[in-house]
Amino acid sequence: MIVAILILFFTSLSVEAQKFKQPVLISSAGQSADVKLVKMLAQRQGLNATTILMAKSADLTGFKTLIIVPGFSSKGLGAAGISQQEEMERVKALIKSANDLKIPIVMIHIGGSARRQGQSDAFNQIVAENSKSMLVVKQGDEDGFFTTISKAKNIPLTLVVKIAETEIPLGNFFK
Amino acid sequence: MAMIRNHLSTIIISILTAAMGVIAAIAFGKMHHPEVLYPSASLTSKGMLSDYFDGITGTNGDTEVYLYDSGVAGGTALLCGGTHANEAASFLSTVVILENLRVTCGRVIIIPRLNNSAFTCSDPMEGFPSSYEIPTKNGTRVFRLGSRVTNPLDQWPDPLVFAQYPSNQQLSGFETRNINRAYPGRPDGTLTEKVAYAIIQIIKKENVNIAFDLHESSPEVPIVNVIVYNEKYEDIAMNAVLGLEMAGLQFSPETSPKNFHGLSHREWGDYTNAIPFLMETSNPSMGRLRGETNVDLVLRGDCDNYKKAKETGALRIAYREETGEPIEHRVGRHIMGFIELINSYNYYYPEMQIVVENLPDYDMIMENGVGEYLKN
Amino acid sequence: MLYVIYTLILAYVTFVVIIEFLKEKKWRNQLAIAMVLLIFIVRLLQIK
Repeated sequence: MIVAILILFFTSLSVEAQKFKQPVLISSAGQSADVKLVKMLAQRQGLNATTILMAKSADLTGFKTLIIVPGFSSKGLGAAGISQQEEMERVKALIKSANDLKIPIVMIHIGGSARRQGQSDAFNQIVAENSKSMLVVKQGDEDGFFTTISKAKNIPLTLVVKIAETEIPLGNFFK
Repeated sequence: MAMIRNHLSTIIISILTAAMGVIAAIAFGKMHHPEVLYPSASLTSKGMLSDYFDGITGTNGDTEVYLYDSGVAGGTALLCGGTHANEAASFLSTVVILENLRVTCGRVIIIPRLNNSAFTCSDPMEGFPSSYEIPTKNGTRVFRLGSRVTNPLDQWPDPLVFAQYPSNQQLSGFETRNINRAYPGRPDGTLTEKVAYAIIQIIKKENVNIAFDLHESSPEVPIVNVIVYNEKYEDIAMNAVLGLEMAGLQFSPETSPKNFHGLSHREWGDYTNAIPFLMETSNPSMGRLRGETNVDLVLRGDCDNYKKAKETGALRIAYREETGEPIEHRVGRHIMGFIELINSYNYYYPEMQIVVENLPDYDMIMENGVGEYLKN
Repeated sequence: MLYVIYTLILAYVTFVVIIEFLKEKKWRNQLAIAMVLLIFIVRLLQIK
């Protein structure tokens, strides 16, 4: 019992202690519109954030944190004029560069069940596994997809009920 | 006498046909008597759309324009219902706002029947009811359910292929009567194009800052339960989506496609200084999977076919299995969307505020019904 | 222009059908022709 409490205490402590630095680059993985809401949430929290939907490795210069919002949208890809493979290659390259440059990645998944499974999960998985922290709207984790990754890779996971509720934990990452 | 006997059946059938013709004429004629609306005490003046472009004077396309001026300097909002007259919640939400609105800063202009001609007919082959009733405190109010497009008797025939003006984008001939493909319109075009032109004129002449176009769509189409915004005004839309989410209402933000022309959210934003938003609710009575099409389906919005379709999971369907998509839910969403988008606009344009009050919120409409907020 | 052409065609067809209606002796056939005529006439009179 005491051990359990201690473990809980330390895990919560490690989550508490998790801080990221600004300026922040926000990008998408799969081009869903969710990234635009995250941009708005960051704006509301007064973060020094730049949003580049199709950020490339070169865009990382000068940034100290990379937020990636995964979620597949055929409409989004259509508007960007690229294929799913091209988007996946871009995301992989971006993650690799961020890792090389030691820029921590934060994953924010707010699309719920609409941005799960199907073509979204490949993006969800690669971003989640390479992140230093995950912020997820519960509806997207009903089958425990992100919880499993969180446990397996020991990545802190914050679950919230509503999209708007991601605002405070997002701000706290940088305070 | 013998001759009369010879032609007796001809005479009887002629009289019968004439009688049926008269009955039909009366029934059709009724479609031209718009239901009476009861604007709130805040109304300052009522005009016609032809006041802004006299090319539609005396036509079936001319429509009522209601102005609510607070007398306090601020911005101007334009609220349009009835772009597609078969979308009940679009018109009804506008009527609820019209009959309850109080404006304390800036101005609000309301056009409840944007495509007036479309209210005078119904879509052929769809089996749509021609009207529906809403119970109110003092009895019942009857509202017309019209067509998606301009009455063919006002604009006919349709071309095989419709070339949108001025983009020259090609669409099916039917769309030539769809006013939401006609913007920015032209003064010497078809009736639909003239009305579209008049709408652009009112936006320009009244210096409209924010404009709303209310719609409904089939549960199975991708653009449903959305706020469509012109990309220039993304922040206002996103801010409102978050505000609505806090109120428990999920709206997906959708950018107006750059190359899809003639739509309000595209052309109002490109041809005028207004900030346009289009909202869609889910209406099972408009969908391809619907069963029997009757008033019940229009108002209660519950449909076993959609329930089944949703359960298969094969398609993304905007249908709530437990409750369906009742009119209260759809009207409540439109009114909340209107309020939140104005709040969001005020946040970004504090010097051009528009303050609207006395509108029922989503929970109030769900609890008390739409009729509670209709005067008379 | 198309509008006028279509209307003229409809007027001609209506005229022909009226003649057929008057020539017809059997009341069942007369009734059938009258129903067709009804739609044409309502359309021609622009009852909308």
